[in-house]
Amino acid sequence: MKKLYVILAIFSISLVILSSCKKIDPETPPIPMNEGELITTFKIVFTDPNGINLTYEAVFRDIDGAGGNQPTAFDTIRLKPNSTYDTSIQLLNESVFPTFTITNEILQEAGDHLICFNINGVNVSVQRTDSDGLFEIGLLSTWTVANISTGNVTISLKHQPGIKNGNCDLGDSDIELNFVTKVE
Amino acid sequence: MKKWGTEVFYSQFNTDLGIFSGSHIGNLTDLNNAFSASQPLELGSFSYTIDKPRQQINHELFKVVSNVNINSKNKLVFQYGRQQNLRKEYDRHTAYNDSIAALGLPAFQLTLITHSGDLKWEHQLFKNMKGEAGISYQNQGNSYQGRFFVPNFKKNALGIYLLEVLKFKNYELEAGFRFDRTDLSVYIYESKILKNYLHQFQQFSGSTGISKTIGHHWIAKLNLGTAWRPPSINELYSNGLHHGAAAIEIGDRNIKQEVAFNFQAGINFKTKKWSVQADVYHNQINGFVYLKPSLPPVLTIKGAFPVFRYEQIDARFSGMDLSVNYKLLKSFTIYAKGSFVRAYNQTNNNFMVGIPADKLEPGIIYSYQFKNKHVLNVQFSAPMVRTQNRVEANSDYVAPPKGYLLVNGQITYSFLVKNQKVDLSLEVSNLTNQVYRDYLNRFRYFADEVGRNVGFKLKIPFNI
Repeated sequence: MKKLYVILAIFSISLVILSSCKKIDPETPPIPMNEGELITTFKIVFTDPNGINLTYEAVFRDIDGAGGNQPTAFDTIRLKPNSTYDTSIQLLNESVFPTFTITNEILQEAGDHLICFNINGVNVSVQRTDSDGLFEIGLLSTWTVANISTGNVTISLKHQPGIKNGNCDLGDSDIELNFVTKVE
Repeated sequence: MKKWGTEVFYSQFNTDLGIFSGSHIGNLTDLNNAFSASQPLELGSFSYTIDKPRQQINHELFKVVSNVNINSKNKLVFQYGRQQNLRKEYDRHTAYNDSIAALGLPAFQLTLITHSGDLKWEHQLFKNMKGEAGISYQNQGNSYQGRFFVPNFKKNALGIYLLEVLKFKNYELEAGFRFDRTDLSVYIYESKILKNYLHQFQQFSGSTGISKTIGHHWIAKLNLGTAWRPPSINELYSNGLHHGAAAIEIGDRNIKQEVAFNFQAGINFKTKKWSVQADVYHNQINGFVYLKPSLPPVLTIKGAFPVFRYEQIDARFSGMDLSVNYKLLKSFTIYAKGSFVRAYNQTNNNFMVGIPADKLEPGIIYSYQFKNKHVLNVQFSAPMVRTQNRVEANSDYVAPPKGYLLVNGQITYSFLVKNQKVDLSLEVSNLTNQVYRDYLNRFRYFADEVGRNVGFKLKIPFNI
């Protein structure tokens, strides 16, 4: 029986030694580095090239990204009947300081990105006015507004690396926002 | 008798897997587009290179096992193991920031290192009684690099147990108990500050069982016991979009251990013609953890996503598993197997989501051996699944799907070519091309299950 205790002791000592040698340390996780990649804010600015209607901004803002707290802003797009607007889209990461403008990164990779507009029930038509050289991008567009109506415009950013051909069905949706749109 | 024996084992497994780029789900619109398209929206082009999205996996296992035969009745077994699991995920979507993208790093990398030590004492204290006592210890560390997926953690788990089996006459008695303790230390950034959270779980558990052989044909079994498990890291800490399931999953860090009290009784009956196995059980589970749909969907910049939360409740499960085989003729066998479970949420006095529907599968097997020893095997089965209507009202995004009946068939012809066995088979699943959805499949919210599937198989088993 004595022998048994000796063996037991040897094994338990070796167990402690073996388990205490470790190489990587879970106690120091990397500082969250993908924060610069988060799109927290989508802003679309409507300006009247004729200077008659006031400049209008519609914003979606969700500072902590998907899940967590609810978005803090999701504006209705309000436009005047029988008018034309030039629009520009800005994508920001407002969770970092200073605010990071993701629109610039998208412009650099314009050949991989496409912004799509899906109009439902509202008398508006959209024409993209910018180009990556081959296909349109959609960060800039002209909105032609007809008579009073209410509906939705879904604005999405498609990521289409190496497959962009102007078609909205391809690729991953990085953004998809369904804005209530009122012509009033 | 040999006194000592030591075995050293090492293995490595490496794989680089390409992932079908159409399967990455950006948002629900992408998912619906993918489901409704008659062919994948991206056809791609032929290449031998494995491109993004891809997954690199590396497993390494090192093990030492030592045996000491003290005498004919006592044996010690010691085992030490070190396992390293490395997983690198490369997204198709590289970083927007060019300088980050240029590094070519995986979107995230997980390193899990596990050390384990087990000491086991196999013994025979009395005649007719054999047993085992042991200590097992595990130390685990998980680290990530890149995008957050689950937090870093260190886990220490210790278990001590004793199990004895007593045989006399036609009885076999079994009793055991175990104590476990798990310490989980979690390291997570919250609002850019590194926080450390400690979770401790400990529990005694025990089990006892008796089985009796009655005559030549019957065996009866009865088991009583408790069991437990600590919550997993994702049940405690997941919080965000799950790209594989197109859903947001949210953990709860107040979740405690799950403790079950199990009762099980079963009979086996075997004759030349009959083979019957029936088990009934009743399990009381305190602190049962399950993933519950949390309505309404949550709005994100990528559109709305369904939300699922890990919830802890007290629940009871009663059920039956059944399997019957009857040899009708020399070459005909009919069979049926089924499983039925009734579950109830005692915390909210309601039914639960995600409980399997009743299932019964009858089948028939025809087997014929030719004079030249070739064998023909024909099998048909018809799994029947009922609608699960014992669910909490208005608690899911879509109500449980309707019950269904499927027909599956298989014809196998086995023959010998110069002493080499060859199996040729034709398999058809869902022969009637039934349109159905499976309640336990998360994609049932969006799409039907697979239709008729015909497979042809050639199998040549060989030994080196």
